Amino acid sequence: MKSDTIITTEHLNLWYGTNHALKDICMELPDKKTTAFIGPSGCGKSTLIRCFNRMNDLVDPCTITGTISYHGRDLYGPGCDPVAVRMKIGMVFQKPNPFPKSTYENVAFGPRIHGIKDKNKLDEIVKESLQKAALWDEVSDRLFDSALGLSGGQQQRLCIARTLAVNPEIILMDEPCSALDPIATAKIEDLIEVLKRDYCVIIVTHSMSQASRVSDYTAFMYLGDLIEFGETRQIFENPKEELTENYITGRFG
Amino acid sequence: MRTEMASIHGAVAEMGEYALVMLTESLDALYVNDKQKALSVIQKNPSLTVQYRTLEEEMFRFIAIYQPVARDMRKMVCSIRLIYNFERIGRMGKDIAKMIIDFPDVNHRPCITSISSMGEAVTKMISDCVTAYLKEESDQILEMYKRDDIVDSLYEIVVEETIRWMNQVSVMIPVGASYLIIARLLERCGDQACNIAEMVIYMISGERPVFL
Repeated sequence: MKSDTIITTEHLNLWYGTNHALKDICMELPDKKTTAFIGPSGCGKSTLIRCFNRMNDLVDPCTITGTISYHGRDLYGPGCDPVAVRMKIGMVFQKPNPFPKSTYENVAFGPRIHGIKDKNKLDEIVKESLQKAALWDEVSDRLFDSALGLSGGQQQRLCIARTLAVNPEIILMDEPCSALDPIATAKIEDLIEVLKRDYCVIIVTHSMSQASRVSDYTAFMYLGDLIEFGETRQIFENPKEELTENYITGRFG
Repeated sequence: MRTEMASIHGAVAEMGEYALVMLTESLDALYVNDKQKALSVIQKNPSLTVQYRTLEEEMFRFIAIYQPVARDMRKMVCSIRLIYNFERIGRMGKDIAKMIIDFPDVNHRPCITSISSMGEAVTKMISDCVTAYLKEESDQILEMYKRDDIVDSLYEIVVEETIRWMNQVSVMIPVGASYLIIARLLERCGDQACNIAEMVIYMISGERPVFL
């Protein structure tokens, strides 16, 4: 069915206190593809992707059972450094959140934290990351201006560049276009199409049309359960589960 | 959205019925050489065109506004394809009627039996397709290809009989030539019915049948 698997979940369950937010999730996410997570609010999609980069470690109380494997290694196993995980599995959030620094410093921040101090190397990383995020041409003449002066769409692409700067393998995107206008959204979607050639992209979205446009695979979740997972074309043309069809056709949700 | 979709669905089925009436009435006119009836079929054509254009615009608008997916998408795609098929069927009815206008007032009954069997088979196929589309039930159209095979066989018989008749009664050659064209149009209507059945089955099940 799919190309090489990069993340596998086996009987993954998560509780926020007594709230059973993820129920026995078993799935395999393909590398170098885009997978969209869809479902009504509160279904667990953001919770699930936050499991992939251990962001839920920062939530208390939060209990996880089951396993999440990344390249066959347990992400929650002993000796697995969450900071290193977040370098390899980066995240872009719904609201663009550039640091109150220059564009250059935003992108260079991560590599510096991870020990890169050589200026030429940093310049190279910043340029390459901004190029990969399709932002370089728009900011190359004002790299040292405040990033807060960029437009919403540019700020979001800056956040993507910031993620790319630390050389991830997976990019998690939690409704990355919700706060953007249609033109900025289109640019992000075009960027996703390019990024998936080199990275695994996982995107949470409320837009059915966006999911059908940008993704190769789609996962539909409902009340903490994974209802259906399959090729996007099949999900949106002829879903197997009635619940999936009722959701994507707007009969509920 | 649901109301609009139901309205479009009903209107497409009505267009199918209208096109079928054009074909059926043209054949009725053929069997008794009724030029008045043939004329009334021709006069139905502008209305068919209006229905086609109106429905096409409504469906394009629906797709642009609602971006349907899954069964809604399949229904809309099927409906767009069906109005093209129905428009072709209605026009073939009109083409048959136009030929009847030019028929001489002579007895051409020898050819009628086979072609009436063919006409009956084809109109029943189309009728079943329209019903299947309207009710969203595919039981009656799953083996449409077998019925089309029968129509193709009847076509061969009509051609053979008509040619034999033209050889025997040379003054009827112009009429015979029209019969050959009418038989060909009916054979194509049978193919249209198969195309419609395939789309309706896809609309209902999401699977594309293989009609050989």
